[in-house]
Amino acid sequence: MATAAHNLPMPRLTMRRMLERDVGDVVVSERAAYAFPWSEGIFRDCLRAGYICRVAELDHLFVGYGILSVGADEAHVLNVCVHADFRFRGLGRHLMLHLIDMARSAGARDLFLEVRPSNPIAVRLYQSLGMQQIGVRRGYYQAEHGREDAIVMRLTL
Amino acid sequence: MVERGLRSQYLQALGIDEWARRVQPEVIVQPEVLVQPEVVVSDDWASLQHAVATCQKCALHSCRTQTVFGVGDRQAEWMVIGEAPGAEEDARGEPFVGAAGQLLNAMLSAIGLARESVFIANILKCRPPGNRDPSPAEIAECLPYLHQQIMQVRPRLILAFGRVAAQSLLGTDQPLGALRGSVHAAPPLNTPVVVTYHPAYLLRTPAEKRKAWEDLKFARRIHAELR
Repeated sequence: MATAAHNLPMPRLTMRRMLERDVGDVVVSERAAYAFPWSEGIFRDCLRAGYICRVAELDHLFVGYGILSVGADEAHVLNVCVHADFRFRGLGRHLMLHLIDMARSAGARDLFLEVRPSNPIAVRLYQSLGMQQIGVRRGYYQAEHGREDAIVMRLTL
Repeated sequence: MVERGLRSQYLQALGIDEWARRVQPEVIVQPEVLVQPEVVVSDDWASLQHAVATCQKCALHSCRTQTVFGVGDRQAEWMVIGEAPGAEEDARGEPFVGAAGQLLNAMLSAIGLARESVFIANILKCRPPGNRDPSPAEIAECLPYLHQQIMQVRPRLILAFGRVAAQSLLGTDQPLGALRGSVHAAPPLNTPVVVTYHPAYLLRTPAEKRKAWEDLKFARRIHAELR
């Protein structure tokens, strides 16, 4: 059976620089995603500090963001998040691929990130992108009861 | 090489979920621009309702009592999509009323969802006479309305009930049995879709209810993972 679905344009996923006026959307997503979210002030500082702050939009809808710091040929993913309304669509992978591209073009040779062991979906995504666990930071994260370790992962660019 | 259907059965028996490849969005990286045009998103729900109510894009408009737009929470996390209005839906202007609607409500409530908390719509907004299957042309004319609804409700997960809903939504001609047990992606927003049997079919074939229950539990698990 042929249907119109085939003829529809693919959704357009746009990656662009995060602007001051995006911070509201970012904070809403952040709070919905994390038990211990970053504050609005942290995001504003990231913008001011000159970190690479990117926003993903699907057909003009805000769907996620990523923040990358680059220095001395090392890039660090500080935050990457897909809005809860838009999960399970492969958008996190596109965001990560985009951040990897940005890191590469900024001259970084390695990309690092920390991830909670209690977030297996994220860990699997990073592994599938070729990232490897290189260590553990003990008690790195705030947690419901006490602290949680961070898995440290690296990708050679 | 194990036949696909058989492989699905083995995987299911082993408790392994199959995953379907998603439709990949086209990715555009914007140049470093500082000023962006403001995107004004107007509330065009009412105009969409009006367009549906007055639609004459196919011949079904001449034999309908009224259009059946859809009901429920416009901010719902779950969207339920069926085939087309039947006689009772056509008379009342609401989808999934009557015996099939009762069963739908029971199925939703089995996974903790109240009918009012989801958004319910059909592929077709008008009743095909004699409850015949919608024609491909009718589906092609009507589907853009559903896409608009999906754009505006922005559900996190879509439950497609029955072959016609599943195939139309996903643009495939795979049989329902092959589409069950996987997460698919529906245009226009790549919304995750889980498919199951239509309640009207389950009323005729109660032995399949057990499979529908498996599908609903699968959907509930996927929804839980979205958090």
